[in-house]
Amino acid sequence: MILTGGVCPGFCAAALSLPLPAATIPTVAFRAILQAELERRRGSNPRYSLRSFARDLSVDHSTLSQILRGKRRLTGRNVRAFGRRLRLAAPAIAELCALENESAVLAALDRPNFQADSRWVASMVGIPLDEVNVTLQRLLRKRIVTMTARARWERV
Amino acid sequence: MGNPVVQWQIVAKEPETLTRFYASLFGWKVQTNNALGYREVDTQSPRGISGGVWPSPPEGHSLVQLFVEVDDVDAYIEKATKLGATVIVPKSELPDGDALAIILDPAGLSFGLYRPRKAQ
Repeated sequence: MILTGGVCPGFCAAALSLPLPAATIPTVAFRAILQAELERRRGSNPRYSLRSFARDLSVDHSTLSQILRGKRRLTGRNVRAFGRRLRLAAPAIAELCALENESAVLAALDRPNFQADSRWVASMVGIPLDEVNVTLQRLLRKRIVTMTARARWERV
Repeated sequence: MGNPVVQWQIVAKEPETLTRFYASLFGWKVQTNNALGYREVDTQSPRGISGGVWPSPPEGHSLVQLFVEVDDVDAYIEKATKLGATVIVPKSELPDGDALAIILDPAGLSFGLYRPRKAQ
């Protein structure tokens, strides 16, 4: 039997914890962490360059430059790879990935041609469908996004 | 009408793998032709209830939830919280017309308050 009501997704608790507190997207994005780390390294070694940083992160320097200037969006894959290179703790990397995904999904919601469809969001932001849905769930839990009508997903 | 348990849901860290497992084991049919790409599972039997599979966040773990049908999600949220439950996800109007809220009962088990679109 399939419910005649149709789709019925779960939006479960991540770890059956209490609801996440109401919040806004943190202003410290992973880009800022990268920038701060670059400055820190330059502070201790004046010859340390963007190319040096890119080499240490195993990424093309022009790609890193675009990321730091906000010309290129960080992907979850970027965050995981850079986070490991920066020796961040695994939970911190996971949270930073989630925050980057939140920013990406919120940006999709702001598009004038927005469609209340997870596949459409996935195609717009370039992250897998399951990650879009997990992100949507986080945004709902944090009361950053509401679904108040069938096709209305809005920032609070 | 009462408040029947109308659906189960597996929340899985690897939803695609687990969906394939159950489909292979029981011959269940899975379709995702909906706005969320939700894995709807049809057990191919007139008895029992069908379900679905939803992805768990990386920091979460796999679990099973039950959805209870109600005619008024808001009213049942209020009733549940008065009885000691906590709202995890507020009522959401889903793209296909259903409404759903996820609640944590006083013992820490999560479940869904579900209103299908047919009840509107």
